Amino acid sequence: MNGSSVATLGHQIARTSARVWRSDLVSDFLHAPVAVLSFAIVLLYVLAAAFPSVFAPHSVTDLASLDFSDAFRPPAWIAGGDIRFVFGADDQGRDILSAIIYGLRISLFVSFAAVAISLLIGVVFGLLAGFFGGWIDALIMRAADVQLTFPAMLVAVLIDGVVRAAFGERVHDQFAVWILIMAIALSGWVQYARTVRGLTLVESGRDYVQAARLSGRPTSFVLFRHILPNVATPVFVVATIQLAVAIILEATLSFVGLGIPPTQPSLGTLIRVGNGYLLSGEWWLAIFPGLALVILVLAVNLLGDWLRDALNPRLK
Amino acid sequence: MTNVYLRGLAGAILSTGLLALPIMAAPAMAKTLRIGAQADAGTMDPQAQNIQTTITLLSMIYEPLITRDKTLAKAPMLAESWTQVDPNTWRFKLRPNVKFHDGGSLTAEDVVFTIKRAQSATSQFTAYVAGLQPKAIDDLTVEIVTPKPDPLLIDKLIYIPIMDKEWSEKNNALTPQNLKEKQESFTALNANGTGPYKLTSRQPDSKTVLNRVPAYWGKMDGDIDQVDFTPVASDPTRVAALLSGELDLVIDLPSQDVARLAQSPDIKIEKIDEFRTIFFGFDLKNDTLKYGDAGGKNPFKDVRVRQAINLGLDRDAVVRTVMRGLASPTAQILAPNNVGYDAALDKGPARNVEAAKKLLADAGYPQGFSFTLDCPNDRYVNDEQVCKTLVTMLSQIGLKVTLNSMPRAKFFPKVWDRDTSMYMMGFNSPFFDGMYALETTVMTRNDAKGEGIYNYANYSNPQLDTEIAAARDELDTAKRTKMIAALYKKITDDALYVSLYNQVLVYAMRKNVSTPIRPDNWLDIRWVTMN
Repeated sequence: MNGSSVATLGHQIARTSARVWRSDLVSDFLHAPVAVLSFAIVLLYVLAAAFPSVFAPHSVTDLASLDFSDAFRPPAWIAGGDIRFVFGADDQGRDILSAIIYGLRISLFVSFAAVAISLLIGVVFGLLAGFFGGWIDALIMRAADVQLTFPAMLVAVLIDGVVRAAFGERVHDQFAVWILIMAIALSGWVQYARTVRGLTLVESGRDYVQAARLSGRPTSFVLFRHILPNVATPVFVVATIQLAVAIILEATLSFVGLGIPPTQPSLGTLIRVGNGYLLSGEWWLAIFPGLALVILVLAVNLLGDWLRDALNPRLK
Repeated sequence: MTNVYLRGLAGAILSTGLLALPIMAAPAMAKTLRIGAQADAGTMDPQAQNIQTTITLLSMIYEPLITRDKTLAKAPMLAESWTQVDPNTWRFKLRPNVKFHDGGSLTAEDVVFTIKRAQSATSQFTAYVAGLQPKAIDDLTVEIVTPKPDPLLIDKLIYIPIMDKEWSEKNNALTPQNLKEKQESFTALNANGTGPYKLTSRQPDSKTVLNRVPAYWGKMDGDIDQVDFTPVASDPTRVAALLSGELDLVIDLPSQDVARLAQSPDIKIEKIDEFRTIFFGFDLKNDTLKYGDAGGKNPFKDVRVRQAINLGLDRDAVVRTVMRGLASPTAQILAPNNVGYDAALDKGPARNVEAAKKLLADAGYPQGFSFTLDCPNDRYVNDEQVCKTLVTMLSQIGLKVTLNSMPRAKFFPKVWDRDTSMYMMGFNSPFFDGMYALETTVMTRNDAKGEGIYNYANYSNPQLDTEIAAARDELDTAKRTKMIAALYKKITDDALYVSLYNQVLVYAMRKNVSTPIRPDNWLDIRWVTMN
C-alpha cells in the first residue's frame, strides 16, 4: 500500500467522521446513559494511560524509589494498609494503583496499534477480494477461512513462537511490544476482511461504481474514493468490538508469559504476578489489575454494542 | 426422537463401560502416589543431567552400588559388601540374582560399563568418577582403582546408578544423552534399571508413570504401587491441585503458600533445613560484558564491584518477604552441617547503599552500569521473584539490571555454555562435604577431571586450584576440614560468588502420605507409604 492511498484512506476517515458528527448519532448517544458511561470510562482509561505521571500517585518506572518495607502492604482500608497505597503494594513494594496505570499504557498501546494494523490489512484485503472477485477473492477468502478455524489465541502464540525460533530470545525481548502487536493484529484481520468483502460485493454492482469505472477512473481511485466510504461504517463497529478482543488477547498472552517481559508492567503481567499470591492471602495483587481489565473490556464492549445498534438503520 | 435418544444413551453407557473395564481390572487397592513438581526430569538417562529432580525420579528405577539408609548412613544396595584392598583399590562384591527390568542379569561388566559411560564427555557426573579404573574380577566382583586415595569414593558412587550393558549396546545408548546439544536419544524416553519401579510411560513435561516391579529383589518399607510424576509449572496451580486432591505430594512449594497449606485439615507439611545455598555468579573471564554495557569493560572482574553488590543486597528483606522466613541468610556458598562449614561466614555485611555506591565509584563506575541477569523460573523456590527483588535492590545502588528469566530447559544450556554475564545458582554438596563445591564451582574448568564443571563464572586462579587440590588430597580429616574452611573464607572475602540464603525445604502432602524428608532433597521412594 503506497503513501498516497494511506493519505486517501485518512482523508476518507476524516470525511466519514465529519458526517457522523453531523448526523443524529450524537443526539442518540446523549440519550443512551450506558453509552455515555462506557465512553466516560474508556476516556478516563485512555487519559490515565496517556498521562500516567498525572494520574499515578507513584512512579513505578524508577525501581530505586521502591522500599521493601512496603512489600505486600494491604489496601488502605485494611489493617496494616497505608493511604499512600490505596489498593495496596505488590511483592516489590510497588503501588498497585500506579502499576495498573502504567500497565494500562502498554496494554492500550498494544491493543490500539494491533487494531489499527489489522483494520488496515483486513480492509485492503476485503476490498480487493470483493472488487476483483475470481481467484484473488478465492485466495484471500480461503486464507481467511483457514485462519478462522484457528482461535485468535493460537495464531498469536504461533507468531510469537516463530519469531522466537527465527530471531532468538534477545531480538524477541527487544521488540517484544511490536511482536505482540503484530501477533494480535495478524490474528484479527479476518473479521474486517469478511465484513468489507461482503459490502464491497454489494457496492461494486451499484450504478455509481459502474459509472466511475466507465468514466476511466483508475481502479485504486474507485476502490478508495467510491467504495471505501460506503463500507466504512460497519468497519468502525467491528473495530470497537475487536479492540476489546485485543485487550483481552494482550492480557492473556502476557499472563502466560508470551507477551510483555515480566519486568514491564502490563495488565496481563500484573495479573500473572498477582496470581502467585492468590492462595497465600495477598489477593490485592491480582484482583485490582483484574478488575481494571474487566471494567475496561466491559466498557469497550458496551460502547461497541451501542454503536452497532445506532449505526444500523434497520433497528431505527 | 426418544428412541434415538435412548439408543444413543445406551450406546454411550455401553462404550463407557467397555472403556472402564481395563481400569477396573487393576487391583482395587492399588496405591498411586501422584507427585507434583515445578518442572519435569529433563531425561530418563541416569548420567545426562545432574539435577536433583532427575536424580530423584531415576532413583526409583535405577540403583547404585551403595545407597543411604533412613539415617543417611551409607548402606549396601547392588553391592553386598565392599573392602579397601589398598589405599587406591576398592573391591565390591555384587548382590547375586539381581535382574534388570528387561530380564538381563546384573554382572560386574555392567558396573564397569556404567562407570566408563559416566566418564564420557556428555556425562554430567564426571566429577564423581574422574580417573577411576574399574575392572571386572569375576561375574560378581568389581575392583575400582582410584588415581589417588579418595575417602569420598563410596559417597560418590551413590550418584552412579548401574545400567545394563547389553541393553545400552542394543539401543545405541553407549554414551549419555547430550542435553547441551539437545540430542534426542533412546535413553531420553526409556529406562531399564534394577529398582523397585519400572518406567511404564513417559510424556516429557506432561506425565511420567512408574509401576512397582513384582519381582523386585529387595525389601522395602515403602508400599506405593504406582508413581505418577506430574510437572506443574505454575505455583498456584500446583498448590491448588494438592488442595483439591489431584496431587498427593508436592516437593517444591512456593514459600508464600506454606502457611495457607498448613491450615488445611487434609494437608501435612514437612520441613528441613536444606543443604542448598542460593547465590549469584558473574562472568569472571571475558574482558567486556557480554550482556550489558559498562564502557567496554567487565566490571565484575573488579572485586570492589562484587563487594558493592554484596553491600547492595538486603538478605534479611529477601528472606522475610519473598521467602517468608523459610530460608536463613548467608554470605557463603556452603550450608551448615557440611564438612568445612564455618558459621562465622554466614554473617554478610549489613545493607549499605552509600558504601556500595562509593565502591562502584572507586572502581570507576560512579554512574553504575547496565547488564542482564539470567535466572531460571522453575528451578528453585521463588527463583524469579528473588531475581526481581535483586534487580530492584541493585537499581538502588545505581546498577541497571535487565532480568532474563526462563525455564530451566533454557537456563541450564545457557550457563553450561558460559553464555552469561550474571546468573542465579542454587547448589548443594552431594555428600555433605564442602570439597565438591570448591572442586566444581571454583577450580579452573577441566571437564575430563570433573573440575570446574559448574564454574559458570569461568573463573581461573591457579593458586587457588593448587590449594583446593591440596585440601582434596589431604587424608587427615581434621586438617582437611580446616583447609576447606580456610578456602571458603577466601572465596567469601573475595566475593567470587554473592550469596543470599540457605533454603528451607518444604514438602506438602495429603494426610495419608508419609515420607522422610532429606536435607539434600532426595525423595527416596523406598520409605514412602500411604494408608
